[in-house]
Amino acid sequence: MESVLRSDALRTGAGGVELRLALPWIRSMPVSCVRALDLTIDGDPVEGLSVLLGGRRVDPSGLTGERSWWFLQDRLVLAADRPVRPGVHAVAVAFQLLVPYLRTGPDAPLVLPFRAEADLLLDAAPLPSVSRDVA
Amino acid sequence: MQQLPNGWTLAASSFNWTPEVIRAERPAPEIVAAIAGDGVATVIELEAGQALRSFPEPTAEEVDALRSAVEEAGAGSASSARASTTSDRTAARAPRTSAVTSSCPSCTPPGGSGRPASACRSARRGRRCCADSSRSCTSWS
Repeated sequence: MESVLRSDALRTGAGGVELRLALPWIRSMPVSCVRALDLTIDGDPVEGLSVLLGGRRVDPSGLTGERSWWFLQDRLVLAADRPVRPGVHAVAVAFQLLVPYLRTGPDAPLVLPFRAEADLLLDAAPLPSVSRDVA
Repeated sequence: MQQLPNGWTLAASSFNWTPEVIRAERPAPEIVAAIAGDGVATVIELEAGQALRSFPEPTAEEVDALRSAVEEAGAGSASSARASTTSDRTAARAPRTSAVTSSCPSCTPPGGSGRPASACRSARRGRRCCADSSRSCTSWS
């Protein structure tokens, strides 16, 4: 899914690595609709994954309590303290997106699974973009 | 081009530009305006949740900027109505736009989905229509 992970998505962050995700949906969504985030780099699950929201590090399980929105052109920043060597890395990210206005039953909103994989160069040249980080 | 039957309107939905909006190489309002500017259509169905960063509480400034961008792209004259409520602002129409739709994605309306924000009591009062996206909305009417 090229639209989720662009070629400049993997960057060195404070004390570790950051990954910027695009929203693979048709309109902006509440951040609280993101569930079950999972990241692997070179086949290794990334432990201690956080989401950066306006300078705050939020545990992915805590996103359900967030009030902010993920604008369709912005990127959700995942962060981990794990160091990553320079070069190209196999990155795979998976998450669920709860779509509250679509239903799969009397009381159940639609939950869509997403998975994206890409070989990403750490700190690749930034692409032209008007994206901001979701805050 | 073959003419449309009487009463039909040729329109382009901005949903078809979703991949370009997500790539974000240029601002969403510019992409929407280019639908008219590139001569694709002069009637545009736009989605506030794509075109407006301030969604789901669109600011008058952002709505006006979008309207101006579409006007400058040559799509015709814009509605001059100044919105006074959230739902009105959400429904602010692009020039010659006959069907501007906006679903309310921040809650789950009972018994249906994708209903317009104008059907939400909270939105009509100018408030965000729901606080908890995982909860069924109680404001729909």
